[in-house]
Amino acid sequence: MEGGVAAAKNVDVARDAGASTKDEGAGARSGAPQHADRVNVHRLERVASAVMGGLLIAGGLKRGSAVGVAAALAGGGMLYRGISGHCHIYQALGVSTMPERAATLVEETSEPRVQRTVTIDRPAADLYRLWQEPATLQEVMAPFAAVSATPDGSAHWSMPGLLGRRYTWESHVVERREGELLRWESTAASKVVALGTLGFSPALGNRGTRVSLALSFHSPAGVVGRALFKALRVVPSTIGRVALQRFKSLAETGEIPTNQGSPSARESPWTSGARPNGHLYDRLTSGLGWFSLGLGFAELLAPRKVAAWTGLPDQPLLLRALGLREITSGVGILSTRRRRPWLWSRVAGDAMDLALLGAALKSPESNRARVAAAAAAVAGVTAVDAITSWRQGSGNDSWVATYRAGTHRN
Amino acid sequence: MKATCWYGKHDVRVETVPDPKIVNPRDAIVRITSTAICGSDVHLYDGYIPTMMRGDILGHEFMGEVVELGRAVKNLKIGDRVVVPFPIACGTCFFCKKQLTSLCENSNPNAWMAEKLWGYSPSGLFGYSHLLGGYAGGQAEYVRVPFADVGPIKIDNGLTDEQVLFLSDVLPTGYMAAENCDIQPGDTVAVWGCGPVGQFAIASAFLLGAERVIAIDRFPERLNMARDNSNAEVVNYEEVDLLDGLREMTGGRGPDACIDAVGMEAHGSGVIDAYDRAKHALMLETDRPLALRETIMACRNGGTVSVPGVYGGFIDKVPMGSLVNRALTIKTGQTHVHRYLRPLLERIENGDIDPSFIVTHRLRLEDAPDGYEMFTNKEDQCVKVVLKP
Repeated sequence: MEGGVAAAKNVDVARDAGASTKDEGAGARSGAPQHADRVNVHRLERVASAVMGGLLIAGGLKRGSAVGVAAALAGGGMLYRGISGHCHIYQALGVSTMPERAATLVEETSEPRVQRTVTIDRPAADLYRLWQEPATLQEVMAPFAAVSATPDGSAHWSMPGLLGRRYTWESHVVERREGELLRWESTAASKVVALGTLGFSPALGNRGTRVSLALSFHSPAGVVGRALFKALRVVPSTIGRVALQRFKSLAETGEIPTNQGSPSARESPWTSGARPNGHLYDRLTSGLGWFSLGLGFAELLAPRKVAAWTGLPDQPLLLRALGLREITSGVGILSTRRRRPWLWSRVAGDAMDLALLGAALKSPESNRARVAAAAAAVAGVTAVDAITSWRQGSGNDSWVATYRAGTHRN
Repeated sequence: MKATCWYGKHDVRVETVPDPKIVNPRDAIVRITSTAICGSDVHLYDGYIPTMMRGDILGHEFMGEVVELGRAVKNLKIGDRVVVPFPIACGTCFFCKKQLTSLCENSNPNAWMAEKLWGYSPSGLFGYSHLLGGYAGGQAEYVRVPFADVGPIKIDNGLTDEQVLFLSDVLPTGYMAAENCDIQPGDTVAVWGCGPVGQFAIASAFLLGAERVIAIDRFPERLNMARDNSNAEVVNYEEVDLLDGLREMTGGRGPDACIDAVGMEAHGSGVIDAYDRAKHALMLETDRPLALRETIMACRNGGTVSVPGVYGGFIDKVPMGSLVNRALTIKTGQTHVHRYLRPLLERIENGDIDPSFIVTHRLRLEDAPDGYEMFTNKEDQCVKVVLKP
């Protein structure tokens, strides 16, 4: 009975965070309403859709007739649907082929958003006060973002991004209920839409306070932003979990337990703030994904130019097929959690490319100097692919990348 | 400083690493005077525990002298001689208040990782994988001790290092294993494994009033140690049909309590042993639970199976039917060392037990790799290795 009441409270917190997106959020930031690019196409269907779309574009453009143009346009739609994972027709029909998920298991839904609850052995009023001390947010969020807060509840956030970039935003508290709830939002001027709700309710049996933290991030540009978040491996449930635990420890013990500063025989300990090894491969993996997309679209849309650059014989259909293969690898790498098979698909593709270039070297139609240069470039990329595939999640280390991205980001 | 570092399966090296420093107000830095290799370190050495990283400092049984204190530690002074419990505990959370300190909710900064493997996270431990906190261990010259106002116990009597060192882990672990058996007058307790934890479980079972203790192992030196020091009856499981023998020794009823002081890397023979090794090699099973299966099958109806042995993941062919239909109780857990420190120190001071009897080898810290190899392979009748930095 009481458990039911408590559970209902939890959901409330999640709804608060979500509701703010729809009600105030959508008004202030019409560019990024949460539902507009929600993924409603299953992963397998997305890949199929992208491949079909690519084939239609290639076939349509080759034909050049009105029917061909129509086919190419339809293909473009399918390609978009495949890459973005969002289908407007499905949306209009209210259909989704994505598996249903419970409200609290939101880790893999369209926008990184998460809710976590922890029981802290302190009165709600104390916790409400502690959270609002400027130093608290800074310490609690330290593994993920540099936060500087002011006593009035506004804060500046800075999160590390790709290639040394940083994503920054301002937030301010939009709702305060003494000892019950705090809600904050990024300001309208911020590029990143970040929302948070902290709810307090009494734990049963004088065991302190249940504290629920709901966080959601809406990145600036739909699919690109999502891929960025994935590339960064910012696992939202881990952020919520770790932030809450840090808050709990601060409240209960007066400090935040850490293994930072622990000596080890590693050459570049995380403690020094040096970038961990595994991280490099994560970034490299994402880089290869984008490279696949870029090359794939070039081959698909401008096969003749690619043939001219690389000195290959003018065979557009073959190049378009190769382009599709590249795009499939790229979409796979950027949109899935299990990236390793897709990375190996790149290695297999490299082998195909090399075989083709080898054959082209013998062909009288090709420009041998250029083909040789292209082959050298592909060989280089193959080496990077193979090393990255090997290192990405190899054996016992697969946890390391998640771990590092989850908690050791300075 | 010099420290024993893990580099991979069967690869431990003593390397020079940075000295630890105070990070939090409740930290202390301890200069190690004695440290030991634990049976559970062998699980790390054999590569059974996930989330170890090359270069991690090992060791969770250690004692020494306080050389530096965080500003919030008021109960210790520089120069104090202390033994440090292997679980790290804040002393204030829900579980610490219940004296379940190996379940402290605050001391594992990587709790989310343990939650993925186990559902919820126990406390952080020294030198025992990133899953359990990623803290540097104490097989080194110095160690940082978090929550130093809660864990370390001061030793200010004339006892030697080897008499008190094992308060850090194996003595309370054996003791808690025996305590979990809820020993009644007339009880017979059978103990699988006569390594250090088994030795202390045997001794503790007698301290807690057991009538008989049956010690089970395959190494004569370990069985002799149990017989000579604790007066246990001994059984070499390679020489008899164990379950049949136990039945006969206990009047056809089975031991009242069975203690699995072996854990995840049990040795055995025959089909079942081959089965576990094959499944483990194929990564279909993480642990080899031969001893656990036997403790369940051997225990008398309504008796208790107590498991101080370490398990990490998933096991197969657990005789659940035997457990359920015969109303057995299983009791487990990493040891809540903190609550045993004071009473067991008193037992040592009284002369009820002198834990130093398990020590067979004393090595310099630099020789830790030899110690690991010797202890793991039970060479030279090795039971316990103490390292001196």
